[in-house]
Amino acid sequence: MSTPGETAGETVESAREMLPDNSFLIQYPHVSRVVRSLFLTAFVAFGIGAFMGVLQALHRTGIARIVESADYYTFLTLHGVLLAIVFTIFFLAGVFTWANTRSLDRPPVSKRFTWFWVVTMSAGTAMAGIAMLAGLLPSIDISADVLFTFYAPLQAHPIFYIGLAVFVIGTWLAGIDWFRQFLAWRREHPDERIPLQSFMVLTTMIMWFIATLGVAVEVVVFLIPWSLGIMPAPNPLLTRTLFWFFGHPIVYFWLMPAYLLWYTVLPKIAGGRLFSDPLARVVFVLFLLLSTPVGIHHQYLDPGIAEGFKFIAMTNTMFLLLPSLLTAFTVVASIEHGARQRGGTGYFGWLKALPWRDPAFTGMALAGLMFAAGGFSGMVNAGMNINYLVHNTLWVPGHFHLTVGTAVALSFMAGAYWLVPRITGRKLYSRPIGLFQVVLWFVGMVFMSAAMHRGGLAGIPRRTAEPQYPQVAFETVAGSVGSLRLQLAFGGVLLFVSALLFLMNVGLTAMNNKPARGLDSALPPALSGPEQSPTVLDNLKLWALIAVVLVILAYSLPLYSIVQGAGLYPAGQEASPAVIAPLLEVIA
Amino acid sequence: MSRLSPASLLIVGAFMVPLFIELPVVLSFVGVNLPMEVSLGMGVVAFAMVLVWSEVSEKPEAADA
Repeated sequence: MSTPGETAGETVESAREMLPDNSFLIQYPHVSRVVRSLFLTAFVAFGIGAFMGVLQALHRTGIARIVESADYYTFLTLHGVLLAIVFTIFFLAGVFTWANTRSLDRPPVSKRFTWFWVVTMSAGTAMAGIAMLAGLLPSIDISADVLFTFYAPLQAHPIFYIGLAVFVIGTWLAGIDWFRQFLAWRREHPDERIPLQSFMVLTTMIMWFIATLGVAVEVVVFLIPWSLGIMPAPNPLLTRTLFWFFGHPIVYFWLMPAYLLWYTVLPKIAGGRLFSDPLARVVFVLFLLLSTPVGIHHQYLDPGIAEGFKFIAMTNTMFLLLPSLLTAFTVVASIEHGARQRGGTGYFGWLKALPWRDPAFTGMALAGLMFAAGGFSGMVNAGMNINYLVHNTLWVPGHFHLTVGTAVALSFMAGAYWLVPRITGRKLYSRPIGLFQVVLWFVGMVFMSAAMHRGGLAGIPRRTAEPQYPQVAFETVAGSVGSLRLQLAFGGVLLFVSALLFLMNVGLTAMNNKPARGLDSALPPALSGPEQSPTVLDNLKLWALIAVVLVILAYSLPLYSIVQGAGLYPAGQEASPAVIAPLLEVIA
Repeated sequence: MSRLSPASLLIVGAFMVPLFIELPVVLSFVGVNLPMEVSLGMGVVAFAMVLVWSEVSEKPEAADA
């Protein structure tokens, strides 16, 4: 159903005439507008964050120092927050809004509520963004140079924390919107299995509701009152633990929409069908269960947490390899099926039959390949003993540039090449540029992340504006430190060029006068459908309950131990709001 | 007619990058010290050879004809 004011002239109208009746834009013009709005914010954040990234790559390698080293950390914070929180989550919100609507075949319950959470997320982003950008202006007494990992003792302006809190509330409202949509569908289809894409959206959001409890307590109970000056500085270890309660599952919050694209869109692009719907459901249930009770593996070097708790976190983390390996199997089997449908033969000859000219396919395939490499370096991070070798070194950003920086970001870019024509009705501006862009991202990331990994093994620290110390000679396994720096900077520049090409291509697509053709929104059924799996897989209440129990088991004793050991606040500090302290004295 | 399309050359070239970046690391485990610059240079030469092969070789069906 079309909304008044939705059309933007003849071009869009003529584009729509070319679309089949079951295309998403024709069926859900209002939802398409919501998705376009979310993608716009995501891509603006992506552009700014990418610019901050290339500045860092050139600065820390000493190739070009355009900014003061003191400002490096403002750029680093902007890079992390804009890319790892704003770009990823706004894009996720767009994909989930599309996927939930498409798979349930019904729009959200209330347009007003949908726009309310979009505005809430945007307002929170604007507040946090202003606080970070103001750090570049000495005349303004506002800054938020606390990096993406915002915990005590680094302190930001209250606007930053309040903005983040508002943003997270916006994501909760989005989740509620998608659940309301699902419940409305369920009333009409009481005995049907949950459609796969909707199942993926709902399990991801349950995981997110649980995971964000940690950051909500950290920000609302400790950081906002502290930054407002009404409470003392909290126990740093406590805020670190609460942050990582959320900080690791957010990795899967980034990944699960990429998985949704790999499981449901990639097989269609490859010309095949999903190999197994039940396996996909099992994978998402496993992520729901295992994403949160693992955050302590980010704190192996924190002295206030007992080694036994760290060992439990390591064990849980290693279990997370299972859904990733299941995904590797299922997705490769699905695209092999597609290749064989296209005439591919032989043990490896089918690879040639895949649609490598399509940037959506090639981008997602390269992203999956890089994710395998990221998984291997992630196992090093997750191992208690070998983590000590790479902790806080350049290895760590090398790892997460493979995972969130490629597996997720490249999948999102590739997904955008497929999805943007479907929500705008306009033809992709240039497939060749798109193909070149995704390959350039892959090549740039190979250069940069390989240099980061090897630099980390040599002991080069992360998060340092000038990691060149006259007294210290870093020893590399192969090549010199100078060549590593060049390699890192070169890769960073390639990535920035790739990001610009992507934004240009998507921007020109949004303004393209050529209408998109076809764009059937139907996705082919899985080779092994949901009827071949037990219905208990769809029991979301059960999985949510087990996930909560696992979190309680993993975190209750460590948190109790931290609070018992060092308190909520440093010893001797009053743990009551400063503004009511005189009142308390009178009462006493 | 070229054996490989521009898109195929792009993909083949992309897959060669990680191979030649990691080659010096792999060789270092067996005691061979291959400078990174040399390895990347070898990669460029290898890609040039693929390019030349793509231009001069004949497709099987063309050869049959």
